[in-house]
Amino acid sequence: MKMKRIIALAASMVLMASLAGCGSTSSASAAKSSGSSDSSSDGDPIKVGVLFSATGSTAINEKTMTNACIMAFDEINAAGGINGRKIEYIHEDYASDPAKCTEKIKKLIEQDEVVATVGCCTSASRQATLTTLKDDDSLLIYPTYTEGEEIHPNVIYVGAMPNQQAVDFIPYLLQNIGKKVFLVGSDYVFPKTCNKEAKALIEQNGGEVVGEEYAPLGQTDFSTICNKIKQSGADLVYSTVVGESNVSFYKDYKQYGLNPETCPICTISIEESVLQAIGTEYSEGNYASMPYFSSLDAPASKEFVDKYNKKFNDGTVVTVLTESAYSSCYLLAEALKKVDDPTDTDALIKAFNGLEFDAPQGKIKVDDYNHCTWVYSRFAKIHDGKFDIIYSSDKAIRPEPWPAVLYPQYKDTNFMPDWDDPICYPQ
Amino acid sequence: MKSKLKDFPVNHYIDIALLIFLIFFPLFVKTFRVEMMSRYLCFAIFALSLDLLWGYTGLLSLGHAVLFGMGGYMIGICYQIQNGLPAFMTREGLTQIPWFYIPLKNPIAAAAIGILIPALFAMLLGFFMFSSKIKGVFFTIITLALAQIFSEFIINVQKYTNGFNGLQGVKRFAINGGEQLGKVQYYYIVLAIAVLVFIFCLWLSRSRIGKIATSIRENEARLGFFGYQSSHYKILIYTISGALAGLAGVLYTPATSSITTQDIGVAASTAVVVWIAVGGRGNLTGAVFGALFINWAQSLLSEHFSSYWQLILGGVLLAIIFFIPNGIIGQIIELQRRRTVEGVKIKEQSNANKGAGLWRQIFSR
Repeated sequence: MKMKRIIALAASMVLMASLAGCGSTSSASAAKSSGSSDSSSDGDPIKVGVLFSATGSTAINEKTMTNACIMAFDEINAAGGINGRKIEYIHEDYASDPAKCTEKIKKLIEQDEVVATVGCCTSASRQATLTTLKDDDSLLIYPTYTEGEEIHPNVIYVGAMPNQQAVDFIPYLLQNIGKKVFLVGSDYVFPKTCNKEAKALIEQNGGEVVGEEYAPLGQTDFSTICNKIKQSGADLVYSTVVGESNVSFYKDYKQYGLNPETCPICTISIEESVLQAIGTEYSEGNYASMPYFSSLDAPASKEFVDKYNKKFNDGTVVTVLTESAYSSCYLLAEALKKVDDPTDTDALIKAFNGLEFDAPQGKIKVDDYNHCTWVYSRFAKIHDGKFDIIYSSDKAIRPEPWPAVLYPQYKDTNFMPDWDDPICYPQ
Repeated sequence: MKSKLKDFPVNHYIDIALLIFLIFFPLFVKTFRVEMMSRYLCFAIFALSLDLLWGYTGLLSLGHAVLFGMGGYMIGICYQIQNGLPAFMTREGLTQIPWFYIPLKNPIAAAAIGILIPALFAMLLGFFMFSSKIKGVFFTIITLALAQIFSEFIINVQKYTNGFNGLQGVKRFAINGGEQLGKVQYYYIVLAIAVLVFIFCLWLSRSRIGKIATSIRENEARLGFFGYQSSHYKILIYTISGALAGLAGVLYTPATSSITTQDIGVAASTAVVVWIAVGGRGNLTGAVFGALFINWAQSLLSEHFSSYWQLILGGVLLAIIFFIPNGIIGQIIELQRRRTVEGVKIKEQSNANKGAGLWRQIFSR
């Protein structure tokens, strides 16, 4: 009898010890590497985190972002690394779950001791990292286009702000398609914030908002909304529907007798991957606005797409997010080259101000002050399942995290409130 | 004395081993692992609350994360309204903090409300369901629907909850703008509460109420013939379970510093069922062990196999549920029970054989 109890006890101890063992061995190795990085010898790699989901609902987009980071860091290392030191990237999968995202950013910063992290694809996951970034004084480079009205001192926003997607797009639509606009979005912070600015821009440019509807996230039935659009007599639909819902939206749109030729859907939230899922039949004739489309006919862009497709043959396609993640890595590398000690986060963040990079979309630049990035404004008409670019701004457009059209009070302070203002970021 | 020791169930040895391990755990690992463990301890409390309901009373709830989420959101909201109106409320056009949020401003009050509301909610729901004799799979389906409705509800009243993005920046019980508790300090507080909850559940399961709960699971009709109002006991257990789930949520949100709709929906509710199924239901140890084991396995696997970890974990879980349906701890208890019975039958057997027998039994199954 005694024997059995001892065995049972031992078994449970072994199990626990093996669990703890995994934890402690990896922390031991991390401690070792941090010990040697203190001496800052030249040969040591600089550790960088890559935090994108490989599983879960946003995995499709985030896989291409991970790929882009791998490609960028491999290229940087092949070209000699950062002042003679290689970059070592550590990828963590947060399974599209914000709580997991908090855990993983902590793991990257506290255990792996990365100097910065490129990552996150949704506002929810980005916001889940903010407390940790501040407490541990680390840096996140966030590549996704976003809704703005948040600037965190420990985040560099490389994706477009809403003004960069809308200020050229909306006047063009009002002049060339029609004045009556119907706003459709997912019931979520991104669409609501973007539409607030869109409404102001529409009114400023002599247009008229004839309806505004929000569908719950993940909605697959757009019949009610399509009927409302029909009744409203709109000339165009301005859409901020996000993710997979778009597939149902475009399908329902046509099936309920709405015609993209007379009333197109003009969106600021679909990429090539979603376009593929929607299919040629339903996407034809609609419009989209993004800083970058993989169909961009420029040498840098073509080279980028070719390189990507050669390196990764896993069914993912190049989108604006891929391009942005790729640029994020290069911007980080440039910033790392400028600082003496990569572990000095404050200096690293300062090094980003005014940093430029020749991205596949063209020359982009991190703003001198507000941590956002100057990116291009482009829009395309969808034809044959591809984005046919009909407009490209001649240079990168200034980011306005608090758009001037809504917040004139921030116009002279780089379009943002003070850094210590509580509305600057959720705290 | 010696015979008493012999009767001491094997799972309590595991409890004690686990407790010793958890007490010394922070000495050997980095702070962030300690922080992770405090989250998992909250999950363990959550699993205990469901074990009372499912393991002892036989009511499988697939919406238990709703009660967990109610607790968690109370603390989340508490820290959103500390510095005046939060940005998400301003964006949706609110000009002042809604009146029903004002009592939440004090973290201690928020914690109390975070335990009370899920308890009341469970009581009310239990009252409607159990007094109209809803049982078995229908109870499960209703709770499943509830989980879906609740997370949709939280997403859609974003004016008050920040919708899909959830609530961030939750402090570890910083009171009146003071310093928040240290990470290790908070770990020990959570551990102490977890131990108290465990002892409470143990006491409850051995009390008269616990025995009636077990009888409900085994044969509710017969219990009725004895003159017991089984629905009253079911409501009571559900209420207690709700309070404990709420408590787990209250402790969980500060440990992760955020709560989102992913922590409260169907997926989170089914996860806790899986933990208990793997650990073994109806013996408390299984719930704690399952919660800690699976969460650690998840974290460590995802660190080492970034794309395939869910596949590996899924395979292991399937294997456990398929080959040892009692769960890991349940199986160990079952083996002890069987051996005691055998031991009475065949008294003379060499010790060495006995020792090896346990393993043979584990592997021969």
